[in-house]
Amino acid sequence: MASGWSKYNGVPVSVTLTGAVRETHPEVEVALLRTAQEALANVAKHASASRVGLTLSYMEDVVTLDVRDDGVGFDLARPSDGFGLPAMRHRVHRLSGALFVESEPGVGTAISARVPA
Amino acid sequence: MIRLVIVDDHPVVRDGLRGMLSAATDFEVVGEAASGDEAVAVVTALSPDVVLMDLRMPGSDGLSAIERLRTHPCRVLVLTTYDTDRDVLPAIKAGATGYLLKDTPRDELQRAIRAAHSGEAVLSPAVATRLLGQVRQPASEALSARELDVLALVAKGSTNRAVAAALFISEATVKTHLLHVYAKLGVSDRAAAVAVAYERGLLRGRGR
Repeated sequence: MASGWSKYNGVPVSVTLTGAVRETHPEVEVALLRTAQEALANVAKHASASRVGLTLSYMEDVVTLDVRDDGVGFDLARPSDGFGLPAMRHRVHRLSGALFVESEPGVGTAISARVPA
Repeated sequence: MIRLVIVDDHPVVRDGLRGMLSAATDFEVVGEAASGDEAVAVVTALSPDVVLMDLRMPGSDGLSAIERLRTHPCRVLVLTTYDTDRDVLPAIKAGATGYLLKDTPRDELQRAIRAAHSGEAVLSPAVATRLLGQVRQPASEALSARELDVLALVAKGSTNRAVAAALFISEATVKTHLLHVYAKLGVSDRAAAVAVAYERGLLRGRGR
């Protein structure tokens, strides 16, 4: 998925797996996949990034998915429409997870989903 | 008469010990050394009964000297400032008869030398406590490679924000990694995590 996106958008995506990679519940996998897709779609639409990092971190009790870019970022105090953040948040919350959005104009954006594994 | 060799890289410490021990009538300081290599040479030449060995010395350290003196009949009593796991266990494994800290009072030091001479193990209370803790506690869960990456950056003074930038992930995930590190090391903040990690040698030789 990441390589297809990368080819299409012309922005290199580095995928990193950390921890003991293992199979998780299908619902968890689907939620993380959708979150990754939407986060990458946001990067393509808004970020003007030159670099994207997709990191899956397997820990004892949780898995986190981070999509970080070095693009234009945005002001968290003035959330704009069209980022699909509410839908992402809803999906992660349904699995007792949490979604974090970190961004700063000029510095880039990081979207992080943390779900129990 | 118990014949002693004092090994320490600081002349002031050697002089102090020599003075302190000469007061007792049953001790004779027959030699001194300022490094591990020198210690091996002096002990081989003079065949003392007990060696007072500092661990951390420039050049050749005390640990390697203890290992090389393993087959020598002398007893080695470690006398050092450090009571960390990283120092204590290797020294005892290498063959030290005892392990004392430099804040040991004069009387106790003299008693310890006599005990070591007769082959008894002697440990400073702080060292004994540490060893008991090691036996009692199951080895703490190992940190993952990524947790060590995060901790190494924190040890260099990086903020969560800087760690996140270096690893190109979110600060939220850096915090999650740190919480796991705290739980595994049994600490509650980053300073303690770094201290424990150094103490256990987890961060030795790391760096980027």
